[in-house]
Amino acid sequence: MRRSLSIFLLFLALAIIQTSFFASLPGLLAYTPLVAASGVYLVQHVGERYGAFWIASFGVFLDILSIPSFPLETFPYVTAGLAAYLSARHLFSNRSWYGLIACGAFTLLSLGLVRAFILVAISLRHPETVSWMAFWDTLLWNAVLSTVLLTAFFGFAGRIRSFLRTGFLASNGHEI
Amino acid sequence: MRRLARRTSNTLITIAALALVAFVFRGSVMRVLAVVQRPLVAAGTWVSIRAIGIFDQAAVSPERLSQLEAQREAAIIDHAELERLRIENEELRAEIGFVSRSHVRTLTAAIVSRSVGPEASAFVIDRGSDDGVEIGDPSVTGNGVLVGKVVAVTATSATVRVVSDRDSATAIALLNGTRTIGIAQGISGALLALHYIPQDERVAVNDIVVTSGLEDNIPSGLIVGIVNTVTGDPTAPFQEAVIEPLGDVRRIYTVSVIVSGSL
Repeated sequence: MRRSLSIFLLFLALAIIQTSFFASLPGLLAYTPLVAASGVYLVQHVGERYGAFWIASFGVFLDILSIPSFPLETFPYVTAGLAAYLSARHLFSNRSWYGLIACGAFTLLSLGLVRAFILVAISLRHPETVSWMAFWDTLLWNAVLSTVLLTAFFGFAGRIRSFLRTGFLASNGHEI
Repeated sequence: MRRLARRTSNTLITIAALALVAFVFRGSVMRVLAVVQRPLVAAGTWVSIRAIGIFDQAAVSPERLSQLEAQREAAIIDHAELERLRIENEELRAEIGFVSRSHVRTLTAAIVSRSVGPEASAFVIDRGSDDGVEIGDPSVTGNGVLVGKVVAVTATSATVRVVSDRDSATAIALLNGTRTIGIAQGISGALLALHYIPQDERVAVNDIVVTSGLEDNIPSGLIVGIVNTVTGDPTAPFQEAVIEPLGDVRRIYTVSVIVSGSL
């Protein structure tokens, strides 16, 4: 129960920081994918499955608050969570910086692909309202900022793991 | 292995139960979260305003740009005000004018979270149905520039969809010679588009765009923006205009909601 509560509260804190603080920052910094990068780091480098659950839940969080960046955010984020979990387990299981970045890129690619499918469906009805240039820009900057965040997390791996253990958020063994 | 699987499923079930409880009591949860969110939004907006010179690659200093923007906004507001007062006099103080509009009840609300993206733009405010906010209520900046409309309400919070959101449509009128009216639709790039304007309407760049009052809950005369571009072949039956909204949600963290019951 204590662990579940910690996981839930930390997710809520990260989601609030992303949608309140980062979303108010200027220019491209507003696109910082804090929750997705944290989820990828947890599932790939720390070996905690709830990282994937965080990514999926963030889509639900955005849709419940009616502040999605793209339409129907639950579907892209659930797919991204699944992609993060499966790629961390089967594709990029090496816990090196390269493995972590590759897992992050794969997760964001999955997120972008599902968003693209949704936008294609929308553009069939309202082609004038969809800007593909803006979509690719967003995806590119999400990937760049995610790489920066994951690199920072990788650099502070020891401290993050110690923080997670203190908050009952990480076990000693690897769960994946 | 089985113990690990059971532990994981127990954790996920407990988290799902916590999420469900948070959803059921989201009114109270939102009220508590707003205490944390307000300073975060204010801090982010402060950084945004300070950093404008770097990120927008402005050729003038941030202070000078802010001054120029304030001057432009003041000039547009003055012009809109004068134009509207002139019409009001001509039409013997028609029933929908600024005098009556100024008596509307407004609520000041703080922005507690925002969406970011080219395809959608919305934000959540810390006022809800308990304060009298209803779906469709307009949200304006302090000087009466329309920012968006309420699209979802809980007891303690409301979601405002920005006028430039792809799914947003606003009944507008142009303060031009022919008083063109139409529906402005949000498009990518935080802009609005006005389609199907008949060729005989005289639309020009820098024409001021205000709400027409032909929409439920939205009073007439709220400033929306200015015409940025007019396109269309003179031989075609229609022309199109791109409107630049004046309300920039990235640089504000409080808004006023015009409560529909007061109209």
